[in-house]
Amino acid sequence: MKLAIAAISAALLAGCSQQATADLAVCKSDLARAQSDLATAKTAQTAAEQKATGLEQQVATLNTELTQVQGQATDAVKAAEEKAAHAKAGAKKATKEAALQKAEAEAQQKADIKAPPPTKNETTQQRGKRLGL
Amino acid sequence: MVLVACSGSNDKFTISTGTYNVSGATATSADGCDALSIFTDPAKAIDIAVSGTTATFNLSQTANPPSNALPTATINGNALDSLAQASFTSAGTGGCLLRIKNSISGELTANDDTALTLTVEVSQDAGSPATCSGSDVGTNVTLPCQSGIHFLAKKPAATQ
Repeated sequence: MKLAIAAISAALLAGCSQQATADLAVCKSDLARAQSDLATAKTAQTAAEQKATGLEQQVATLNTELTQVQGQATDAVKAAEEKAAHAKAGAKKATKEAALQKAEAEAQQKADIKAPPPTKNETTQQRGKRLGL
Repeated sequence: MVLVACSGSNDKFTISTGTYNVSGATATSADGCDALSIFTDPAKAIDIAVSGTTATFNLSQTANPPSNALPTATINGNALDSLAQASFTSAGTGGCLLRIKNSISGELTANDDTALTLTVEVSQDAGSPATCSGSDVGTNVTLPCQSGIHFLAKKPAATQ
């Protein structure tokens, strides 16, 4: 009887051991796959981080270039505005001077004394001639 | 015996056409038109044209001036009585048109030697296309202005 029990126990133990070995193999396989996945994920993370760093540098470079271009554009607009304002002032001045010359010519034509209008450097004699004195 | 020849106050002098040198100019009233400086110029001379008893003054010695720019005086003994006032226009700056009026009176102090009084009035002409300013007339002038100038006008001896 004892012998029978011992035999049965041994058989059971043997069965258990085989099951545990199989489970361990599965666990090892799962572990290996998980480690592989982890390594792959780390590699992908590193690549992504490098790519992100590269993109950030590109963004920084582009921002710098954008700032420069914006500055150049602002300067160009300012220069164009100044040039336009200068041209406008010049045209306005020329128009004013032309109108002044026309008015002076008309007044001189209407005047009884045909002497030129006064200037900054008019001499006393010229003033006397102009005023008929 | 000494004979004294006196030049009596009844002497009648004559004046003839020609150029007269101006000297001794002074203002007889406020010189509002800055005219005195024109007559104190050492080179200042005027032309006088005499026809009968009328003396016509070309104060600026302008060639071919319009007759309305020349004041006249009647020669009445040794007196020069103002006859016609000159009234004419002249251009200022910016299309301004000045109206200038002047008249002459005075006396003959010797042959071709006169003491004259000139009255000048300057204003902006009513038909002026633009506004005139005092600087169109002279220094420190405010329009309208008036000046009274007394001066001597004598024909140089060589031309008498």
